[in-house]
Amino acid sequence: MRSAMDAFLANTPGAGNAFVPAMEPLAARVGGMSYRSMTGDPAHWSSSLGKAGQLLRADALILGFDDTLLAEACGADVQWRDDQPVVVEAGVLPAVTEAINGRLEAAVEALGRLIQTVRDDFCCIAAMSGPITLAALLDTTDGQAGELKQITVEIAQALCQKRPDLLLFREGPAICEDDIGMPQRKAFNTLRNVARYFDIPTAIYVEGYTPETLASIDKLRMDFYFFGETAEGTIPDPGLFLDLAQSVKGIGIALPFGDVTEALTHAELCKKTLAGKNLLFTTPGDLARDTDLDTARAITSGLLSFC
Amino acid sequence: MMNNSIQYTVGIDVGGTFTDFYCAADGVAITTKTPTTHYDLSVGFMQGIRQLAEVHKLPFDAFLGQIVSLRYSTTVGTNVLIERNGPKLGLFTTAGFEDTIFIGRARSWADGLSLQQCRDQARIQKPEPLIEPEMVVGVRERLDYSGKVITPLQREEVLEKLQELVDKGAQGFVVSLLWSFINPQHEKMIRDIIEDEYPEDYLGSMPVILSSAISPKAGEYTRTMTAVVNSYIHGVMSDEINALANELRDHGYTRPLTLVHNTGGTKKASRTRAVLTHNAGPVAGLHGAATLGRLNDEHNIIFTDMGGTSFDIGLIEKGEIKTHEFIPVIDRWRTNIPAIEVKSIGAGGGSIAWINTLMDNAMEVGPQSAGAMPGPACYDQGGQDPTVTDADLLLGLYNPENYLGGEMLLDVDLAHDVISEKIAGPLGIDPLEAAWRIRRLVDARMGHEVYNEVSLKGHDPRNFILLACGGAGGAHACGYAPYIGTQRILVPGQSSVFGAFGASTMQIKEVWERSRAIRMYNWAEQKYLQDLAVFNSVVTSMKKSAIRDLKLEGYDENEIGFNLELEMRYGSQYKLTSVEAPALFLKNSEDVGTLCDSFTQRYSEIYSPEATFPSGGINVETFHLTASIIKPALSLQAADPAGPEPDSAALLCLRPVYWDPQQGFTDTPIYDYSLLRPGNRIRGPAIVEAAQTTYVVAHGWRFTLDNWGSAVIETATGPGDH
Repeated sequence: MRSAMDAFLANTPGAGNAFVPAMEPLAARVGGMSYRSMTGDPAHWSSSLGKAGQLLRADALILGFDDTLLAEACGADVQWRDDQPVVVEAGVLPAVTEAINGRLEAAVEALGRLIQTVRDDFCCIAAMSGPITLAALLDTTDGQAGELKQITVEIAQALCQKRPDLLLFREGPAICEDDIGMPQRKAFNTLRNVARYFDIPTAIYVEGYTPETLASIDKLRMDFYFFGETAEGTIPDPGLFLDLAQSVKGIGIALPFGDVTEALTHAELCKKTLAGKNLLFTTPGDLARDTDLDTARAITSGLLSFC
Repeated sequence: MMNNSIQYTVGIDVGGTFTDFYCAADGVAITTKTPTTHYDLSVGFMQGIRQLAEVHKLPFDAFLGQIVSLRYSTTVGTNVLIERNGPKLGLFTTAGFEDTIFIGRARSWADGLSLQQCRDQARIQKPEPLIEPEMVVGVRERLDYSGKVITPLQREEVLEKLQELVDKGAQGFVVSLLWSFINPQHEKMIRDIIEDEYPEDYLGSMPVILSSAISPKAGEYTRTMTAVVNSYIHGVMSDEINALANELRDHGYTRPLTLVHNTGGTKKASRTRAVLTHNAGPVAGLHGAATLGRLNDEHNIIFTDMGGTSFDIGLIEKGEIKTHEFIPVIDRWRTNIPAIEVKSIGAGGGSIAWINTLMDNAMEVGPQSAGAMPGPACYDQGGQDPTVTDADLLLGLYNPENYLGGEMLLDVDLAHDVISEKIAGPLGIDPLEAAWRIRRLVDARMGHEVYNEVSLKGHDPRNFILLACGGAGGAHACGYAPYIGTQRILVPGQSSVFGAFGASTMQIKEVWERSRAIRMYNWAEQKYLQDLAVFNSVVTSMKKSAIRDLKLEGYDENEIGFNLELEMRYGSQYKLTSVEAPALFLKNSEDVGTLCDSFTQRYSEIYSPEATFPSGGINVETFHLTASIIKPALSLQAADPAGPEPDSAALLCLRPVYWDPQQGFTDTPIYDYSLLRPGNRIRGPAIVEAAQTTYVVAHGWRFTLDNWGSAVIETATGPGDH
């Protein structure tokens, strides 16, 4: 099951397109528990995610995609509304040595368990909030930038020590607020260097972006770039990524997951437009708890038939 | 172009910051470096092999299949000791001597500490023992000094004590009894009993290490500790090395993995004692220095290696690596393995500069290092402490885009920020001056250490050439050479991976030891030893063991070369002096006289001729027989010499470099090493940039490239200057 993702990471296009869904809320449902319970228990977290991966025939599993994980560890006040965590207020940054706490600590432990138990079948991806989005969520000042950088480095190290196949940074609209310049590049450069020490490639998952952002996003020098929905909440024409696909190792594109035909048509269009490029398919953000499993399975079956 | 017929020899050296690779074939060498992955050394190892395969344009598996020799100096054992993650061990000793390893020997509480740490005696803590007191059991037995059994060992008692240790969770056993180095009979009996009770086909089978097998030498504390340290690292090391060997085999490597030993040789991993791999990297470097010395016709060499974490110092005199250190300290423990003497201090590119508030805000550099992770601040891996590399970068000595051949981009701003915040700010000085002081301080520390090792041990540094190796050696050699008093520096082309180069030059070799006290010269009777058989029988027995062992490795007796070193002393004295025996066997009293003269000469060199004490008589205490396999030396190609003037293309640009606070930044010529030709000369100040290192040629020094690609840096008023 992981062979397609291995081929993607090795930048050998043509070996089939991997399917890499972000689906932790859905995994909680598959595991028969609330999302809050699952993310508080490393054993449940890793086993539910593994089961969900088998159900949806995923090639890789993403753990830690939830933006609020890092924000909460960095002192933000997180409240639960309908089993969804929401950041209501930024708090005081913890000491670097105490950065791995609460649900993030469980995530690090769950990642370790996931890797130990399912690595033969799935690639394991460690996800964390990107530094730009995290800073925006925490409403940090320029004076706190150094402190926050140390915390993100600590978290990236903790995740990398578990030896995932890929370290994925999730970035939201905050990354589009300014042109990608030196501050953004520097923020990512540090994290990329940390991952490189552990021989782990890096990727960024961008959502809420504008087409203009794409022109300069490769300045972040990630190995791989994944794209969710645009700032308008749409999935753009794959032609938008054509230039970028020439200059980066691999690209991931989200499929519209509400409708089987629409998803498969879009997948086919992506393959045609980006023929010969190293391409995988992902989901637009997390697959929600109430995702229609029949539809999801039909999409993944369809993808398997022609990817 | 793929070439499937080339056979490669690869040397690998794991350092505190980088893992170095030296790959040679047909006289041509390729080098590479990867960050040392302390979390799993095999990751950096395989990364480097992959890089070498890419350079040779070969698929990874095909490249591994074409490697004929892979010599690896590993720090797995060192890491086990640092992290204290070895197994829970039980120790059998002679009843009444259960506390030997806890009492230690002399000031053993300070063993393994730096001079700085030793100064603060009130705060020195004894290290946590590798074996807890409750895991030590005494058994009633006794041999006398000649190995005769005085009190026989009781099987029932051993069984009872064995059960006691197993119940307490022992995962392995060390057996160290009094006088076992003369007669190991009781130690072997205990091993047999343990193996009878827990045979190999049981899950509870546990390794048993005998002190008489690991270190058959006098001195129960060091002998026991050698066996304990070996047992402590044995299991983890065996697992890691086997896993690595399996991974290599899975990818097409067909030969045995060879490990570098701290005794100056190499052996198959499967026939290596774990304790002999400790600190093997610097020893490999010293061997490389001896090889390079032979090529350059340099026979007196001060070897220095400035890496990211440590600064190693060794000495080669008359072409020979000087001596074994017979009581080396491993971690915090005195052992008695015959390791080659290489002094290491905590000074390197990654050494951290800090302000010592207890010493009136004096600036200090090291011994702590930023290591590979987070590394210096300029590596941009989250490092928050200013290091020597940060200082060098800020001064303009390094090109931020040419570090590790451009593989790692350095961030000058980060270097500036940490030096400003942590050093310049508290001292109230300019960050550039702070960087300059960091550089000066580390150079002075290194220079003084070398001076202590050379001049204070009776050698005249003017008779030696300074060999500066390590990633930072070329950048700092002109800085620390003046403290030593040498006027000539040799920086090899492969200096940044010199340990790996050295590993490639090492032969299959092992040292066999035995303690036997024999009086060679009796002052009262004015007679040399008459019964030569006493001496010769010891050598014969050791030689037999050596031949048997190397035959098992697949070598023929004719391929084996022998060398005998003896630990000798005057009667009534404590300190031993090591002497190379002129011949393996003594044929007549004249040979004994020659041996005693060699001892007297060596003793005089160390302690002065006035200190000799022949009236005490002269004794041999311990025999060290080195057996090695003589193989053709690694071949290197010499390039044809060119004129002294470098090609104009070799001058890349002028770059502002901050040489000292008086002059500030000065435009300095920057040369490309790859475009220089043998014979080319460059006067300092100048900088020569190579793929993996930077040569800093300071004011008053002159750089000349020799035929082997090494830089000879001499004082402008030094020999050969016109």
